[in-house]
Order: sequence, then structure tokens, then C-alpha cells
Amino acid sequence: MEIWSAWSTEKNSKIAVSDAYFQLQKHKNKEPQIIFLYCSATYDSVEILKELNTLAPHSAIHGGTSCLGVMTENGFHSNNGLGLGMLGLYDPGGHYGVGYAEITDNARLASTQAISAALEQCECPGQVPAMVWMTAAPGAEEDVIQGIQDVVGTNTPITGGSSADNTVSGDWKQFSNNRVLDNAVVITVMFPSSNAMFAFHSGYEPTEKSGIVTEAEGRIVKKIDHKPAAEVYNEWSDNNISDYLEHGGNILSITSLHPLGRQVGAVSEVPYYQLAHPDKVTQDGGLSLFSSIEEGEKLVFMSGTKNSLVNRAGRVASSSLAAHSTPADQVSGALVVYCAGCMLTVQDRMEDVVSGLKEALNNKPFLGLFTFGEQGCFVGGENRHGNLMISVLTFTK
Amino acid sequence: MTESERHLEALIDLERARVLERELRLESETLLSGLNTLSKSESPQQMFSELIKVLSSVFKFEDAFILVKADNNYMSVVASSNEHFFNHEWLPGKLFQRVIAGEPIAIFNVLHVKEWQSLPELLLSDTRSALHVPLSNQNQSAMLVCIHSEAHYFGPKQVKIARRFAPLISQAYLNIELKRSVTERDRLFTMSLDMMGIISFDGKFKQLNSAWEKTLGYTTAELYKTQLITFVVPQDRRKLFSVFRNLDKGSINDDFEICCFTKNNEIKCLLCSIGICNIEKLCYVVARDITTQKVIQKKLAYEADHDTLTGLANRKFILNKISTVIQRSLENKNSRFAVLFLDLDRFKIVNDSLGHLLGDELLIEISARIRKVIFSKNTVARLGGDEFLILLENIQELNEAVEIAELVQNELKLPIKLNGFNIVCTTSIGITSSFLDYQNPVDILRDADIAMYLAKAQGGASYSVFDSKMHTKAVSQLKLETDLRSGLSKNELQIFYQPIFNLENKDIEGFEALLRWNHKEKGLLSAQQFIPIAEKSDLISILGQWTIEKVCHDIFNWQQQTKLKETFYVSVNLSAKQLWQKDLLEQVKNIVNAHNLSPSFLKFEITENMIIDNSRNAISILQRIKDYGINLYIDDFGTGYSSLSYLHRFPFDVLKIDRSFVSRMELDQSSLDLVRTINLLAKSLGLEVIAEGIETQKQLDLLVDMNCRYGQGFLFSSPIAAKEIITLLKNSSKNEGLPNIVAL
Repeated sequence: MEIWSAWSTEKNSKIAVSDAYFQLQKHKNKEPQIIFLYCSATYDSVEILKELNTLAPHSAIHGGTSCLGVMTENGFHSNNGLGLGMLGLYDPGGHYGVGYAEITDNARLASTQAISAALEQCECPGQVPAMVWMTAAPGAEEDVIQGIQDVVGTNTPITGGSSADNTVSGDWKQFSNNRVLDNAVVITVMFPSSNAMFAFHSGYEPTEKSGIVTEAEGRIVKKIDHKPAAEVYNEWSDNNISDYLEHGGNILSITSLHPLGRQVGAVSEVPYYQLAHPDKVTQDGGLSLFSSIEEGEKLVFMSGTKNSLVNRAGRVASSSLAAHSTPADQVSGALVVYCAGCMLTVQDRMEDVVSGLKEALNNKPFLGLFTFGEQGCFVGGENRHGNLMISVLTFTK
Repeated sequence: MTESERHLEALIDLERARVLERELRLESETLLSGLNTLSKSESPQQMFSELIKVLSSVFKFEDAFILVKADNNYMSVVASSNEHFFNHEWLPGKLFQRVIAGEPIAIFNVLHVKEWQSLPELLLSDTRSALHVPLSNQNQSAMLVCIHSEAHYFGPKQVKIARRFAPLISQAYLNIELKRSVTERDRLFTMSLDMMGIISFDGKFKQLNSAWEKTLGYTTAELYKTQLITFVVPQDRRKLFSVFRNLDKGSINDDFEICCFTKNNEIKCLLCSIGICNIEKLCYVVARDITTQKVIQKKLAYEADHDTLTGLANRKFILNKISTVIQRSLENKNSRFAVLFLDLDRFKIVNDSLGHLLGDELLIEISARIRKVIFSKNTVARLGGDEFLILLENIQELNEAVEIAELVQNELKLPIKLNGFNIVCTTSIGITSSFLDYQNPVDILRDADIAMYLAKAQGGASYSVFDSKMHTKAVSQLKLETDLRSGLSKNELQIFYQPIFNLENKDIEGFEALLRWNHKEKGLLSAQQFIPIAEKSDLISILGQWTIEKVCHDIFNWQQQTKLKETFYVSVNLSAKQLWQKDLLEQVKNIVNAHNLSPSFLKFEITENMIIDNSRNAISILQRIKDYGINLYIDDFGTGYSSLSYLHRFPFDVLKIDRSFVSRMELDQSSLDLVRTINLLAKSLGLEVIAEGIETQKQLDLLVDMNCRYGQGFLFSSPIAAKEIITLLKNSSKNEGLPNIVAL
């Protein structure tokens, strides 16, 4: 298998995509089996996809919008919020199928339809993929994961990210072959001819502060330990959100270093957490998260630093190799899902993030996208949706 | 992140890596160790069971089977932990083709997969997940399929294990296949009824199956100690040496037959096939016991050339032999031969009287006696029935054949005791030889046969040497026979009627029907000129029937034209063949009824010789004829060998004194006395007498004097044609005296 990345920050959508595609073709003068395409929501996605379909009519295309741009082994590509990147997989011995379904009122069902379509597209119905890659509109990612697992079971790792825009205004898009969608789930089933490895981590450490969700609804924690959740969070964060307690409001940017974590499992008695990023204080003192929450769950106040967020990406990439006992020189490429919130927090140090990834991936091509939710497979085999996480999918030669 | 936190993370990663490595190592060790034990399994089925056990220690499944692609492109199960899978054939689609190409594939739900959808419900209901592991090699497309009743059971982890260990599992499968083929080969080797083995070029057994023991009687241990050549019969040893020599020189294989001694000194014939082994100076040998086959072949060959009853050569053999000696004699004038054709005299009578079983015994005994006097270099054959042929080779003169004929005659003149009977069965012998320069066997047989018939005509128990005059005569007779057949269909035959008179009142009492033939070249021929020829074939029966039909027809016509006396009759001469014809009476009845006649109009004349040899049966037949209403004449009395004394046993009504006696009456007293005696005796037996051949008045007077009542002859009338009879009858009835009819 060969993997090549390409990027562009050209303003013109058509030029940006063709520019990037020709970069791919420089390395390999034939169409890849599949192209992963991510770009800022400020591009004309329809134009981009139309052009790419013209340039690579036989390649499957999976992608979506990414916050402010993308990163590759060549750097962080964002020019006034414009950035486009693609990763081409040249794997004639492998099978890749892309399917989609619009999320109407049943994300789980849509997800089953999308993955079934993906399996049909690559003529592998009934077969267990080595890996599933997803791009979904934010809001129902847990249901999407359930839907995937309804079809292929829980043994297949799921990795991906929720599509994002530059301003959290709902402009996000998802790309499936020749379709641009705004509220859909796009799934790629992968049967690579080589190995695919994964890791799903956060850059945060747990603190001793924790509480039980005593009242919750969907993605809103209403009460922790029977107390208004916002108040409890404020207490844990040394009054970091005091200004929003009375009237509510957007707290996304000030809670990036202190998400709430739920323990998913433990390795050698060291727990690992699925994170939820508080983004709003509600009128009634609750906290809105970017992931679903259940009553009875134990929430842990997590703590991170810019450094940990910067260094974490490389660590996660290394971890994906280490966990599968694969030396770095076997890497052929990677897809990296980096939380947009983390990216915004460490934006001025994104080049350090890129360096860390480069080093971990042995300077092999990768494409990083900045998402409003991350999906991945924990070391214990649990497929989860989280926030402020880093998910890495690595391919060997 | 603090330094300690980094270290902790690194330790965690390291620990995870170690765990993973440990898992991998454990899997590898388990699998490797398990796969190694497969080679110790005794049978392919056991190996498969071991393989399943080994794999299930690494990942769980409920059942497994191996699919192999057959020549018809379908895949079928060759090993399975669930017998129900054996009966199903799978048509490979894209999934199976990918697996065959080397890609392990897990299925989360077999219901979605085309290859599985054709599975019978019984199997499909219990299967949801499947893991396909490629086992293909350059010779075969195969896969191992592990299944589970839960959906989503197998995942990427199991696929990775399968990918990692597919080569080992393939190897294990190859071992299973090898074991299977070795097991089958071994079983074939052991079970084979043919002898199989490996021997060295010096003939020592290296490996052999039990068939050697069963065939040769030696134990396996004894066979291993001894060279093959030891068992081979001396005359075949050179052949075996030659085979091994050729193999040593580079020949690849050879087929040959040898005979071997068994432990109890029987001889077995073996058909052997020998071929070079891949290992130097060793060869494969397969041998089949064909002793029985050889015996049968020999027997068949013998039976093809020999008469099964007597063991003598048969017709085919001797004709071939004669062809050979003819050829030899044509090439070498000094190479002379003779052929003796033997036909037993009156064998049919003996056969019919004593029955066929005794008849066969008689033939066997006769054959033995003939063989006794013939040198082994010569050939005796039974042609069939009671005919034999003797071929004498390398004779110097014809007299040698004559001597042999006499020796045979002498042997057969001695009585043969059978079932309490002393039977004498002589033979008529016809002799011919290469002195007559024959070109082909058919001519020899023909001429010997002609000569034999001449001997037979002389009364039997004699021989006759063929000469060219006989041939001429035979040809002439053959022509006559042919002409007679033709003449019959062309109305050349006629019946003439010789009146039989009452010697006292000169009334015509009746007529004797006499057959004449108006030959287109030879003119009118009397019965004596052609009846003997007809008697040699079926013609005599045809003529006999024709005669009776013609006579009845003529009587009918006469009846229409004049009133016939109640005692009017026509006598017809029966031949021996007619008399012994099974349906004679039936035939006669049909003819008489067809003409609406009374059987009393007919009389049958029978000669002595017809009834001498089989009197008992003859009496029965004659009685039946008489009971029907046809009176019987004994004709030409005095010329046969019957004695007057037993005449009374037969139901004759009239005795006809032969013309030879009548004609001599006036020449000497003894002849006259003889006729007188016959006349008296006949009368004393209640028989009427008709004197034949009365030609002179003196003869008539003498006969009248002795009170002989009836007679016929040229004195009264020669035989006259049917159309003239009516005039005669009319005149006779008017008592106008005998017409003056010129004898024809």
C-alpha cells in the first residue's frame, strides 16, 4: 500500500482541489482506490467535489469540512481560515467502500444504511471490515456508532470525526463520493491489504474532582450530585465560568483545558477516559456537552495544558504503533482526528503538533482534520464518541 | 505533562506492548506446537480433528470444515467437524475467490453472502458468523471455514490471526492431504489382490504387500530373505535377468509373464509390470496371478480344436492340418499324406435303440480304438455325428493307408460291451491321398467321402480307395441329383402302372406304381437309375410323397371315369426314409382324405432290408399303417437277409417273390423248389403271393401249377401311363380281354 498526502490553501475552490490532486498524482500516476478529502467549510464544497470527481472518477471519496483547515506532514494548512487537504490510498489489493445516509430522525438507522451501502459499494456484503472510518454531522454520533455496530458488530474499530466549521454555526458538510451533505453520516469500510492500527486518547489527566450525574437529558447535564451542574463545574474550575452562571452562555473556549471525563476502562489499572467538552451553560444552570451523557455516570474533572495538547498528538500516533507492536518504519500513512477545540487552544503551536506527529509517524504522509467530535476505539476495544480527543488511524506498508 | 507522567505513560505503552507481544507469542507457540503434533496423527481425519483443536485454543468457534475446489469448479467439503456439511457443494463467488487468492475474510452474517445463501436451511439456521482462512497452494484451491451461530462473532483480530497463521495452517492442510494420499496409497497397497512391492535390481524385496504371501505361500519373512529369481521356474529366469539388465541400462518399465513355484511346488503364472523407482537401483513391481486365466485359455484353445465328447481333434483343427500338409506336399513332392474318411455302419440304429447316452459311450470307445492303431504323429479327428477322419503324414506309399484302414476295421470288428450289450459297430472307410495332387482340403474330403460311400454301398465294414473314375461318377451323380430336383418341378417325373393280374382268371386286380423320369437328355429313366441317388438326400422323401399324391390323384380320376372294383388297388413302393419318417401316416392320411379315397385303394410295398435291423419299431409302424387301412406287401422277398420264420411277426398281407427267383424257375429245379417253398410258406403264414417279373408262358404255367394266385410282368403288360389305364380298366371290366399294349 502507498499513501500520499496533498494540501492547498488556494482561495479558489476548484484550483485548491485540483492543485492538491495533482500533488498526489506527482507521486503516483494513477487514481487512488480512495481519497480522504477535508477542507474548511468556507470553500465551495460542491465545486470541490465536482472537480475532484472529474479528476478522479474511479476513486471513492470520503470527507467533510474541518475547522479552519487541515494539517499534513508538511504543516498546518490554514490561510485565513482556508485550508484543504487530501490523503490518497493506493491499495489495489485492498477494498474500500463509501456509503452515506442522511440523518433525519433516526441516526442509528441512517448509520446502518450508510454502512450497508458502503459494503455494497465495495462488493463485500456481510464481511467484517478491518476498520470503519466515519464522518458525521455533530449531534448524534453515539447513535451512529451504535448503528455501525448493529451491522458489523463491536469487534471492528471505528475511527473518525464529526464535521466542523470555522464558527460553530452549523455550516459543516460531509462528502460521500459525489455527494455533499450537511446532516448525514458518511462511512467508509476498509479492507486494506496491509494492517490498520488505531489509537484514541485525550491530552488530559484526571483530577480528584468528580461527581455523579444525577439529572441529565441528551447532551445536557443538569445536575451533578444533585447540584446544578454549572455550579459544580465552576467550583471544580476555580470559578472559571462564574460569569455565565446566572444567564448561561457559550463557554466552549474557556473550558477547553478542563473537559469532563468518564472512565471507559483501565489498562494495568490505569484508567482511560472518554471526554465531554462543556460548550454552554444553560438557563437552568445545566451544562451542554458535545456528547451524550447518562444519569448515574461519574464525571471526572479533567485537566490539560497547552503542552499536553501539543505533545499528545504525537503520543497518540506512537501509541497506535506501540499498541500493535509495529515499528515506525512500517508506517505508510495516517489519518489524524484532532479536536477543533484543542486546535483552537494550541493554534499558535500547531507546527509543534505537526512535528510531533511527523516524528511519531516516521515522516510518512498523514492528513489531520479538526473536528467537533472524535470517534475512536479505546485500547479496551470500546468504540466511543468523545470530545477534545485525538484519534489516529495508521496504515502499514 | 510532568516527567513522571510521561514515564508512566511510556510504561503503560510498554506494558500494553508487552501484553500484546505475550499474547502473540502465546498464540504462535500454541499454534506452532499444535501444528507440529499434527504430523504425528494416524489418519487424515485425526489430523483434521487435531487442527481444529489447535485453532480453537487460539480463537473459539463452533464448527469447522475444509472446502476444496473440484474439477467442476464447485467446492466441496473434504473434512468437517459437522457431518451435515459434507453433502453440500459450494459455487465460489467473489468472496470465495478472494479467499482462494489468499485473503482471510470474516463474515458478520452469512445471510448477506451469496455463497452461503444456497446452503440448506438446516445448516444456515445454525450459522451466522464465519471466518474463511485460505489454504490454497499451487496444486489446489482450498479454504478452512470456522463458523459460529452468533452474528458478529469474528472480527479483525481473528482475521489477523488467520492472516498470520494461514501459511502454517496451509502447511498443516497439505500434511493432511499428504497423509490422506499416503494412507490411501498404503491402504491400496495393503488391500490389493495384486502383488505389489519394491525390489532392488538384484531381486531382493524391500517392501511387499500380503498378496505375495497369499499367492506364493511363503511368509513375508521368508520372501524378504530370498531373491525373487529363486521362485521363478528355470525356463523363465533368463527373462527376468534380462528385465533387470534393461532397467539397469536405463529402461523405464517393462511388462512380462513368468511362472513361479509356490511353497507347495505348484506353478503359478504371473503377469508382471516393473518400473523404475525414483530411488536408485530400486523398482516397483506389480504382479497378477493369471494361472487360472492361462488354464482357461489353454482349455478354450484345446476346446477350439478338439471334440468335447471324444477328445479327438475337431473338424476345424484337422482341416487346418490338412491345409498345412497340402502346402508342404506342394513344396516337397516327397512329403506325402493320406486321408481316411470313416463313417460308422448302422450307428444310427444303435443310437436310436440304446439311447444317446450309450451312443456317446460307444463313440468314445470307438475313438479310443481308432487312436490305438494310429501313431501319435498322425491325427485322428471326429467330424461330427459318426464320421471320423484320419490324417496320415509322411507316408511313402498308399498301401500304408490301406494297412491302417484294415487295422481300424479289425479293431472295430471286436465287440464293445455296453450296458450288458455286446455291440459290433463296423465302419466304412474311404481313402484318398496326396498322390492325386490335391490343392485344397475340401476336395480331399469330398473324394474321401465318395470313396467311403462306395465302401458303404458294398455293405459296410470295408474300405475303398478313391480313384478318378469315382470322381467322375460322383460328379455325374451330383448332376443327376440336380437334374432330378429340377425335373420334379418341371413335371419330368411320371408314374407308370404295371398291372397285377389274377393268374387264374386273368383279371387285373390292381397296379404297381412305378416311378419314371423323362430326363431331357437321357430320355426315360427307370427308378433304379435315379432312386439310389435320391436316397442319399432328402429327395427320396419328396419323391415318395409326390408318388403317393400322384397315385391318389390318378385313382380319383379313374374313379370318376369308371367304376372300380372294391378290391381295386395301387401298390406304392416306400423307401426306407419314408418308412422311418415320423409323420408318414399323417401325410398319407392327408393325401388320401384330400382325394376322398378309401385307404384300401393303397398298398405299400416294403423291402426286407428296411425292417431287418429295427424290427420292433418297424412292426409298430407297419401295424399303424395297416390299422389305418393300407395293406402291406413285402417286396423283393428273398433278396434280403431276413428269415422266413420271423416274417409272421410283421403285419404283412402279401409277399412278392422277387423277379430274380421267378426268372430262374425254368432254368433249374432248385430255383423252382425255392419259389414253390416261398409260395407255400407264405400261404401258411396267411399271406397272398404275387410273383414278379413273369415274362414267359412257361413261368406262368409253373406258377399257376403251384397255385400262385397273382403275378405281374411283361408277359401280361409292361408299365403303362396313367391316361391309358382308364381304357384298360374299362376293357377289363367288360371282360374284353387284355389289350395288346406294347411295353414301354
